[in-house]
Amino acid sequence: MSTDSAAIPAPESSLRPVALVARAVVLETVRRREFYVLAIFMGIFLAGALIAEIVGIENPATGTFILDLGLSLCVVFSQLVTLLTAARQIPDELEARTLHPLLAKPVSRGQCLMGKWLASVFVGVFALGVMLLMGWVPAPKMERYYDLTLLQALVLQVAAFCVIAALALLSSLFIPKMLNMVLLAIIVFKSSTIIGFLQARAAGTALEDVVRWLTGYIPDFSHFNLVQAYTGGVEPVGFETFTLRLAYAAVLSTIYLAAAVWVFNRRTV
Amino acid sequence: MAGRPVIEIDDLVVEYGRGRKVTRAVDGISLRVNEGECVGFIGANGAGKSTTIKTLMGFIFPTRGTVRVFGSEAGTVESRRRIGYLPEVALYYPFMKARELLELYGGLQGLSRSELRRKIPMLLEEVGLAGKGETLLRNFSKGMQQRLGIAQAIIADPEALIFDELSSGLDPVGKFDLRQVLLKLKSAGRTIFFSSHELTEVESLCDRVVMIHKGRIVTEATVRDLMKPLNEFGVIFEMPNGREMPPAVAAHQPECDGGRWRVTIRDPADYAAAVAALTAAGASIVSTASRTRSLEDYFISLVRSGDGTGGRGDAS
Repeated sequence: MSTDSAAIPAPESSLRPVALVARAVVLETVRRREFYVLAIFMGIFLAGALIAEIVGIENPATGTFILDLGLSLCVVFSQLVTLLTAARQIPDELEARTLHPLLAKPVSRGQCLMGKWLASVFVGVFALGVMLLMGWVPAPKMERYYDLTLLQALVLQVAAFCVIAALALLSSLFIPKMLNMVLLAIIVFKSSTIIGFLQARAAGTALEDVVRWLTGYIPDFSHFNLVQAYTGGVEPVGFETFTLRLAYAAVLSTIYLAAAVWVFNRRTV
Repeated sequence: MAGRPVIEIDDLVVEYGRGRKVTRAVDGISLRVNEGECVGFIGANGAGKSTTIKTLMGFIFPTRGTVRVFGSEAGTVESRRRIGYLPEVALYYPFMKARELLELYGGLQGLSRSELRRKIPMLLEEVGLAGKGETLLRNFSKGMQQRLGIAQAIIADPEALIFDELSSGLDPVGKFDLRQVLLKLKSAGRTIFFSSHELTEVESLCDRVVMIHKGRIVTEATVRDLMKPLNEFGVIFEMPNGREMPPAVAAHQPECDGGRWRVTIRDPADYAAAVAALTAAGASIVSTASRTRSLEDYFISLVRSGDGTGGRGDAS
């Protein structure tokens, strides 16, 4: 230790602490070997797809079914990875008492949350990439599909990861970890059904406007899913629609993250 | 010592809970720690030490009062930039290697990669973890984690160190090593504020001691001042006829018991001066006796007494 001078490090760029926190989260995810479980699932699918290739598929509808199943699994698993990564960050740090040494460093709680959000999104993107290699590449493509639709589907999935991670971080500040994960999984996979149900129940009542306003804050993840459109041979969505969906994700992510930072800044740890 | 204030706590109140279940953990304490001082913060379990320290770090918010560190409000990034902190229970990411953890924390404190590469092996050696840089922390014992905690606290050469339960989890060798590190930091002019149950540690390291009991500061004094009333040196002597009592002895109000005098002195320096004066005055010293209570004795009596003053009052 050099104690000859009290070196005061110069104020840092606000991005470096974010990147360092994110790196730690990614390292944890890799070392916890959660990807291995997903890889096993995808490996099973890959084996099935390869057997189908070898045996030979004559019906194009069967090929499309396999492709649809493979891509849907990619999306579901990568969304789950994002959700699980984000939802456990703060509760695990509190439980393991690792948050104090981290927050004792010159890193703001906002930077800490941003790093964890960024890492959760990165982990989701990485999982999607890896699983696409196994779920999409080997699947038989026997009908006409639009590559641009697939590209849009992937970009919108990344947008969905941003929303999922932000929402999971926010709700993890209020709700116990396991309950949070279950509730979020329901929202991610059944949001449009929930929103439709609530709005239908409130229709024609005095609460209609309130419910419509409140359900506006529940993300409708069906807007981000173009997998069925791709496997159904549907043409890409228009630029305006695509941009609006991205903006929808950006607005929701910003609201959730800002709320999470606000709450976390006022919370005793 | 009258350097710049590093820690300033004014009328701090911290309460937990709501409504009827409110518990007041810290009850209106005020305290200053100046630059270059080493201050020990002692008290029984539940006295409010950790709550105060967590407030200093911004983990807990004051119910009332102000807490400032280096002039900034406690908990701000600016206030934490110049502090090294060791938590009460040092637990670190089990999936990381020791080197990676120090890279993370050093990086957060603004150290460059080249600085980290240079510093980390030296630091690990200094805290007794040489060669453990590539070991996963899940394989570290409690004592090793505590040593690593010290390394992460001092990695950026902070101006002030705040340690919550200084030597918790360390074996005697670890405690010795830690003391050497702290003495080195102290001699380099760092400000050190720590809570501890190891009162011998407090005695040997601190310039000043603050005792907290039931959320209130009951004693704040230099170690020397605090120890004064804990010592008792008794002298029984006979004065030659016609000789005046030396002032160095008379100041301590000796009592005459038959033909002999008996005096009780608390300060070791005063005691030495009194004995020298008696000898010079030709007095015959019949007997001497000393009884020194340790800080630990005082602490125990303080904790056990109902009013928290140990029946002694405030030394400050």
